[in-house]
Amino acid sequence: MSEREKPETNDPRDERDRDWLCALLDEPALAVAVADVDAADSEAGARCEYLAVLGLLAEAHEPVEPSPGLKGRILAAAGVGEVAASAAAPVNERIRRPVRRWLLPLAATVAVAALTLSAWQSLRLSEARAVIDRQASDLAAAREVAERLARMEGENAEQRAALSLLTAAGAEFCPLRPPAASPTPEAYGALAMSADGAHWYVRVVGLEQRAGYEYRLWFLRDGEPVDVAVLPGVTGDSMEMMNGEAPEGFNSVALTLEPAGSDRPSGPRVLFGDQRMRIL
Amino acid sequence: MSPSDAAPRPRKSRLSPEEQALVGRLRAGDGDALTELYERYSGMLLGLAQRIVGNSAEAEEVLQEVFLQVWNQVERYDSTRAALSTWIVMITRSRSIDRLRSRRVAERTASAAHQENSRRHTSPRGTRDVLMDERRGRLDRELAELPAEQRRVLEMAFFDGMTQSEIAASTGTPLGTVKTRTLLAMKKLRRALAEDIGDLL
Repeated sequence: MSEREKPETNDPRDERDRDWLCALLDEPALAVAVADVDAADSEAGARCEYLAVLGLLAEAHEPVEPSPGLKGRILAAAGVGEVAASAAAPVNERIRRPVRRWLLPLAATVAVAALTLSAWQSLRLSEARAVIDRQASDLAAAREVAERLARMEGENAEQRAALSLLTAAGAEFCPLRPPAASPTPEAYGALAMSADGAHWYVRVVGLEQRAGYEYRLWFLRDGEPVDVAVLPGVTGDSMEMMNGEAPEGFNSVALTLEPAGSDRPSGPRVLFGDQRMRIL
Repeated sequence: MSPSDAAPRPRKSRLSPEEQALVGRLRAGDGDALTELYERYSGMLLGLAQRIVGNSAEAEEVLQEVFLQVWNQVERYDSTRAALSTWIVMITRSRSIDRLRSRRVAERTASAAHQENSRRHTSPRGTRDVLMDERRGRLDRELAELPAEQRRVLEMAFFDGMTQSEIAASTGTPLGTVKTRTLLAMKKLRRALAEDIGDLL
């Protein structure tokens, strides 16, 4: 060993420093040792200075530029990053830090669960909407069928009433024929009245519906109207109507084509009848 | 009354007001403080970690562990015993050597780090960087003035994480000589860098 390598043992503190330093360098975890060293203040200064020397050794090399993503990874792993500002509030970090380490995985789990639940609910909602739409469509179809049935029942009732009227004993018939100037010379029809005069029924064939006009059935006494009925529209080429009590005292019937709203027969006579026949 | 008989004196923090504030913010969980710490020391610590572990990828993993340890264990830092930078350097060194030992790359040499395609620090340089450059220059000169065997022992202990027994076995030198060389190197550096140590303390 050369002269310059001999330890300086004149000062007792040199001996203590040497022992401490040797122990420190034999300890792999220097950082832990720094925190755990417990010594008197008289030695602490020397230890700190030696530690500072060791710290300076780290600067013996050129600093190296970290890769661009390293900073972000560190901040994310520390649970700071964008929430750094909100993390500045002074709270008990010994409690908060462990929580924060679990915060990101917990938040991710909750987010995934929420997304899954939302997707499941959206699927269920979509299925429910499809069922509702299908049921609404079925209901509309059922309503349409019900309305058609009701309409058919009404027509059936009218036809039964008409048949009853036509086949009842004592019923009267009045054939309706086109006069010479009739615009529909091919048309014909008949008016039937119950024996008690409580109902009448008319059916006409060979007519055409004209826009802005309506067919009116006039009950006439000596050429003057005593009652009138506005007939429904032409279905196919025929028209029929079942009605209530027939007026008394009429001796002829005329079917005219009138402008809508007319209260007197002014249009051409389409059909006319003045003969009444009773069924025995 | 001898110094050893004196009543214990309250320990004094070895931090500048700026570093005290930084440590306080770290303890309060201020994420900006962690960012500031990273900006201040990441280049130097990555250079150290890369020097020890020998490649940049592992050095960055070490650096991530270091900053997380500082963030999570800042309460353990004792400002009366060491400067903040010294504490972080020691953590970096310890983590790097742990990784080096676990990897057991015996053939790694000091030149490996230089062969690595490392990225030199090219970010804008502030006053602090200039001061660190000056200090690094002084450190290089003082290390160069150390006898080669003392410098080698010091580097094997600090950068390679070898125990003094391992150094003795590796160099074929008696253990006592290794310890003496180490101590002498440290004392010389302590004297030569007294001004820089005063800045740190």
